[in-house]
Amino acid sequence: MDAASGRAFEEFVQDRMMALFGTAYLLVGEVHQAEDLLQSALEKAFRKWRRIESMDHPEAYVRRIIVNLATDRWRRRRRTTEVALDEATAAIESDGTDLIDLRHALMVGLHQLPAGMRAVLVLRYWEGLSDAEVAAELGRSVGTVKSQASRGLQRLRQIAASRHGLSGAIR
Amino acid sequence: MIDDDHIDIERELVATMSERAGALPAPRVDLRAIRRRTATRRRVLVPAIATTLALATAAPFAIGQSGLLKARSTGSRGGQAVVPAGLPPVSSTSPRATQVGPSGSRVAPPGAHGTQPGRHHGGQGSQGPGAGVVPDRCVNLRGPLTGAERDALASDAKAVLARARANLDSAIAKLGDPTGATPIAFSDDVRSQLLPKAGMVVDLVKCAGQEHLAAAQRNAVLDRVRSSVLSMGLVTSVIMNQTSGSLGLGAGDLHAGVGVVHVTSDSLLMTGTLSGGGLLHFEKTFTATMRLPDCAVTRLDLSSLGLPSLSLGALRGQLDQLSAGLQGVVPGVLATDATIV
Repeated sequence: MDAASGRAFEEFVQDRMMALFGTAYLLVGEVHQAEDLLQSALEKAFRKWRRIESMDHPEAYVRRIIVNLATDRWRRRRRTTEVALDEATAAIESDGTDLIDLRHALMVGLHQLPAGMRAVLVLRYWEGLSDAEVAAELGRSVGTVKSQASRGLQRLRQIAASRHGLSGAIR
Repeated sequence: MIDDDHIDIERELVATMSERAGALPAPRVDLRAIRRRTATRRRVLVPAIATTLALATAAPFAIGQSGLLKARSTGSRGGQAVVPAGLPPVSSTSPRATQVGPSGSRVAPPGAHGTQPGRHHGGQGSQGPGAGVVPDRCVNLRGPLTGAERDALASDAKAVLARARANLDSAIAKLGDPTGATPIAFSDDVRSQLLPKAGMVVDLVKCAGQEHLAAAQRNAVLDRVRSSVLSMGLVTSVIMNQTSGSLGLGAGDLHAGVGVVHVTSDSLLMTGTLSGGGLLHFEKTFTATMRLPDCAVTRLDLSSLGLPSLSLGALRGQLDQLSAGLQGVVPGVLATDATIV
């Protein structure tokens, strides 16, 4: 890699690091794992940087690396540890600060979803991508993205409802 | 406690993600380690692959020459081919390299010779992965902003705005006064009006035949989005807080929205709207003029709020307090010579 490409890579990292870190964090749910994931993804991106920097949206490519790495890790981890949804949400005791509880439950619930479903929700609600953009980024059909988003939200609604003892009040 | 009737899971999910991701510290990314590992990988892998290929091609030939393994003729068509017994043909990676004869024995295709095993590999290897690729130099130029670049910039600005909002919410929450903690809705025109339009002449960098918005200009645009959202957000929050106090309203009774009215090369006029108030049907606007690029508020027009009890001293104090917890915002938000009417 020549010096100009190296500088362009560093600029890219400096500029997009926080956004990519946010995505990594929302995918894995833990700061150190997210840092590790980001580092690995940037290392992979660096090897192909000359090709990536000529793309229209280099960030989308790097984000895809992050999503793929997170999915791989999730698959490996799933073989060893698995926490039931009920068990995970039951661990949260209500202390009267319901909004904080709800958001905490949503984060826990998000990380109980299958990796693909979680990636759809993160790209849709954190990155603000449309269904078509999410589909293009994940290499899936728009129909699959829509159904995964819908099922993911449904799971989160169940969690929120269980937190508040209401089923019909949550849209 | 929250009102369960109003839980919108999608809105809560966005707020949760913004809150959590917005509160993250800067990640520890080790660029030197990335460079080092990539260089090591090249130093180790390239010679290893080259050695493996060389051995794979040369060893059968050497073994055949040494007579350690008895060479046999195929004995069928194309009897020129000689392959060491018990070893696959050297050029078996090429589908054209060998054919299976009627008797099941391997025969070389016309023109192939077992005594020149590395020929095909040599031919491919001489081209190499980098052959024919001339590194492009990047050139700075001025030109119109393309629609695709504008879309990319808009996408980045959206993320910047979301993070700025999350930082803002977090700073306001730390202040502990719930009347100013209602999320502020930034209309879509905040983003769109603060970005250069497609077709506008901007600084570009041309690399590998592709033109992109120059990093400095891109960063300046995104900084403007970030700073204006933080400044206007803080001002709006403090005014909402004071207005709620003046009207005797509780947390969540007032809602605030922000839009952009006018952008010039050195100033930005944003308007804030406060609405709600239950039976009061309160809806008032105020405007803030900010200087660019730092988005310090130079003029704050609160006259249409019609609140005589609004304390300007308290307003300054709260802005000072809030801005202290936020990076990327002018200390105190108000310019030293700011006018408040």
